[in-house]
Amino acid sequence: MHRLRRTVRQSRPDAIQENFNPSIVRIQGFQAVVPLQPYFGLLAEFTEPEDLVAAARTVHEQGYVRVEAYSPYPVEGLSESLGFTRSRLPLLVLIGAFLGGIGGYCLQYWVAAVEYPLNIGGRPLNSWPAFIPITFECTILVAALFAVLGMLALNGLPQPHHPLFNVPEFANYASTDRFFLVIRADDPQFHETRTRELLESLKPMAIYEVPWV
Amino acid sequence: MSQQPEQHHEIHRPPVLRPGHSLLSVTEKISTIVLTRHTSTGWWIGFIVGFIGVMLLLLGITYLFIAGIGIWGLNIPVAWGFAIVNFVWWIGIGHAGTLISAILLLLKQQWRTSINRFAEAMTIFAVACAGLFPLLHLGRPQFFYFLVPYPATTGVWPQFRSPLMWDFFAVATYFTVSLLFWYMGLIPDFATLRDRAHRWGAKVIYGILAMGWRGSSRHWRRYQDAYLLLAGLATPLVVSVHTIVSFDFAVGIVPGWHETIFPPYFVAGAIYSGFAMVFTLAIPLRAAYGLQDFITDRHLDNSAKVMLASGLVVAYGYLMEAFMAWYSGHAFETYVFTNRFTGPYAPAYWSLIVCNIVIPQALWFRRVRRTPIALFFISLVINVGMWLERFIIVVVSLHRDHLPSSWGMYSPTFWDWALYLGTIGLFVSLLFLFIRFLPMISIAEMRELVEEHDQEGHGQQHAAPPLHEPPVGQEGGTPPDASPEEDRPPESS
Amino acid sequence: MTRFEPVDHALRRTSTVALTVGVVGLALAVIGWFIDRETFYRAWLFGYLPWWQIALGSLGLAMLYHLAGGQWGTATRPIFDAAARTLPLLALLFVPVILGLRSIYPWADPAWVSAYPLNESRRVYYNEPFFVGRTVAYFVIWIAFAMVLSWRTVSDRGRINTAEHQRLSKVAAGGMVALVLTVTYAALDWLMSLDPFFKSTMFGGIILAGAGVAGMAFSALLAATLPRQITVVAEEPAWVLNDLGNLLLAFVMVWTYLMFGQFLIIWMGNLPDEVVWYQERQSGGWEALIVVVLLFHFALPVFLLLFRDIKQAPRRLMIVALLVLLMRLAGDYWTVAPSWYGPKFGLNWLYLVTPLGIGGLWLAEFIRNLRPRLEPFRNYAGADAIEPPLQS
Repeated sequence: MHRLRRTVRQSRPDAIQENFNPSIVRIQGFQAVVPLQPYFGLLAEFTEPEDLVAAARTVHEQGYVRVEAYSPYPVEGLSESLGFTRSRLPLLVLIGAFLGGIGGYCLQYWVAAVEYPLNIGGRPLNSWPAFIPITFECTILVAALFAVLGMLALNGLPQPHHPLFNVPEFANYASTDRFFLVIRADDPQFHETRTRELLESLKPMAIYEVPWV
Repeated sequence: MSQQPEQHHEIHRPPVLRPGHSLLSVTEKISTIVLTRHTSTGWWIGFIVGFIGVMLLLLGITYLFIAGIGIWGLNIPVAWGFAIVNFVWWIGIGHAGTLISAILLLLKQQWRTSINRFAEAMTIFAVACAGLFPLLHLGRPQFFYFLVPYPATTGVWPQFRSPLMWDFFAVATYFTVSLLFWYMGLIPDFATLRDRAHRWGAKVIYGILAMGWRGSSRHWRRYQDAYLLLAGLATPLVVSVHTIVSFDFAVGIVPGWHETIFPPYFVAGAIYSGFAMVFTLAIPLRAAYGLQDFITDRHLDNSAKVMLASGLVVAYGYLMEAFMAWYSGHAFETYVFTNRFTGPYAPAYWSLIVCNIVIPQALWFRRVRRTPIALFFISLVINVGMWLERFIIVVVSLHRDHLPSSWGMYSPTFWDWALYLGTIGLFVSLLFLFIRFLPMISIAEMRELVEEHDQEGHGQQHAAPPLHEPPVGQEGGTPPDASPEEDRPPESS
Repeated sequence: MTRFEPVDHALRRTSTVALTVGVVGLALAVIGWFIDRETFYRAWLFGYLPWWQIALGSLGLAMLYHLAGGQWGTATRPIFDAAARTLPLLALLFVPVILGLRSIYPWADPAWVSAYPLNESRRVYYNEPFFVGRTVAYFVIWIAFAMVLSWRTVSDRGRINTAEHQRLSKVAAGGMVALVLTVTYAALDWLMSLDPFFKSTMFGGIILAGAGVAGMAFSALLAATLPRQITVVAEEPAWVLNDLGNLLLAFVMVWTYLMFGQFLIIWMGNLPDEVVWYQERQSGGWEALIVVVLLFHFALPVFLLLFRDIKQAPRRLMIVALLVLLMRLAGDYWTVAPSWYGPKFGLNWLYLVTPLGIGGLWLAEFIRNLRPRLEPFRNYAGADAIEPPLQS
């Protein structure tokens, strides 16, 4: 007797929408990654960015949530049309800046006034004016690290493989001059024919099934 | 002008991108330079010349490790010689990259797009060259990690009241942040190269560097946020770095060093020499790779204006220093200036004035700003002038100490020159490698420009209404290829 | 139309109020003159500074706009021009300083000079005719540039007149050089010489940046008070306010940067002829004043101006700009007053009256210049749809 227990990874909605998220299936203690859908999703190809924005807006308004749009350069209003309006990156950077600044000052204070006190030209042990430059540098350094690493982490990068790359048109032209919209097969609204019809109504250049492998 | 709304609207302003380009054509034009199998003879010649310099650098460093810094022309009183001159010179050059990338991005100056990548690369290589000198100057460079605050078994900690420690933190932070900024800008282009490369090896390497970038809209959104935030962080950083370099001198009480004007004056000097180096490199490159469509005369014109402005701030610094020395009536400070004007290094001082202040005034004329060869010449002169400025500050201030008994002279040795030329070689060869293996213009950002031009041409919504933004290139007049009427914005529907 | 009328009315009313405050303030100041002439002259210089900084800062910002462009400047140019055109009045208002040189500046006081002899170069530099001559030259240069740049009352209205733009940008390029030099020397003459022994090559730069802050804060304040009228030329008024907020942020940071740079270099160098200036200013209560200035001129505004929600909301931006302007006053007091009071905090009622008196007159003159410059906006003010006037 097999006891199947499906565990769906709990993640934030925006992470779910972008990341490759097959279900994990446990069979007698063994864990296997088994895709539940026959293919990753349906991919529509456009040549103009305006068409992509319009298509994304339509699909989003139809209630699809696991949708993503791809463009070779940032298209204004595209992420908003998919309902992604506020990223949490600025907050993260602010936290990084505070950590860096406070950490930088505390390090200098502790070294110069507590751990290794030296009389340098009769200046006070806690020579705060002299500690400002390094405090500033630490603020910037940690904030910048938070910005870049935070961006990568929130985006789920590095992720060298993604099913979309199995579509040759995507792999070859998505980074040059084509615009793509994918509706994932695990979207609650996804329906093999209705979704395909919806995409067709958006007048794309072509529609592809995105294979898993 | 407005009578032909169907035609290319790019001509209404001096273009930042020549008309007629599409997403595919910019992508191809820029990525083929990198992906082509053929390596031109010119590239090999340039690289080999640079590489000879690297060999000279390695020779100089090896002998330095064996013999110690006595091989340089240093002495007491001139305990800081070429190494510090070159350090400040290189780090100054390294400022234009971040300035162009970050500050011009925040100021929404589109003309930065085609030169920012290249200028950022220049920054990183220049900072790498700069960072070598203080380390080599340590005497025992192998112990440079003593500068890092870590719990050593000796129980000794760094001395944070010393500007040299500030310097260490500033340069390390600047290098790291510049690298992050540069790498982040490259990620989408790595993805393009990954997708366009035919050879397996190139595909794999660019693929790893691209980290799986696929241009998702959410990714772009966070990417743009991060890029803007990084620009916002890099802007005060770039100012702080040369400020801290100036503190190396200014917090000391040597006459000629102890000047409160030093921070802004050093920063302006850094921008000045940085832009000069951008010209020195961009003008030949643009000709060699046929990039006139992307690096247009408008770029040259605007950069020349920035260069002129920063040069004037430097001149303001000279004026204030000299005036205050007279005003203070302080014996030592007055002497520093008499010595600069008439002392043994006076020829260097007057050459500096000619190079940094007199010749660059030609940039007031539009014809000069639009003549690449003239700009190239002026940029070389400024590079020399800014090197002389650091020489004057470091050597001339030190060689006449407070007491005449401790006066001396400084003359560089072969090894001083070897290291200086060696770092130039390192810089050149790194740049040649960069040109060969990485896209020297940001492809993703050029695509945005293409799209904007396209939209203006179709009379669709304006991403940036041309009307309210007096284009930077315009104040100096219209470009040769556009009559004044054409300068006016198109009539919108 | 409809929207313009109340604003015009409000401006006229403000002008009347300002004039009343100005006259009352000056009357009180005159009473002060009878009581204590020395303090009157000193307070006059102090009360003069903020308005002088706003006017010069606005002139500099107008030049910056003509050189670099940007929507923010198209929208705020009427403010810059109107503020710059108050310079003739400011020249007139400088007369009491000239009359009170001996009360204000130690070097003009024969008793002081015989007690603390000045060296030769300072004797050359500091004598009354030379000082007055320099001051006249500064005003001639400032007024000339202000008049040329603000000649047309009809402002751009969002349109780029290429010929005018080119002409003005050339004037502005030369004007920028002249302005930087004259303001630097004016700062040395009027402010640094309050302590004849102090010298700092950065001093002129700090005053320049301070004028930039004042001009920027003032125009942000006005643009936020009159958002529809000023920013109506812009595609998105909120972004004009955003740009103004960012510029204010930048100027505040530059000012703080220069202040800190000067302080750190002098603090670390610890040389007697320079450090005394700071010692006077960090004891006897003055240190509390500079802490307040650092908190509310730098820390709080910088933090607040990081947020778009604050920059784009007219009312909030107004409060931040007002705070910065008030703190400029406090910062100016910290710069000048310790030279008179020594290392012990002091304040006289005259120091409160003169900024109001001079400011009242100045504001009335400013509004007189502003009203015709807002006139062209009248046609656009009624329209709800923000439609840039495209046809030239």
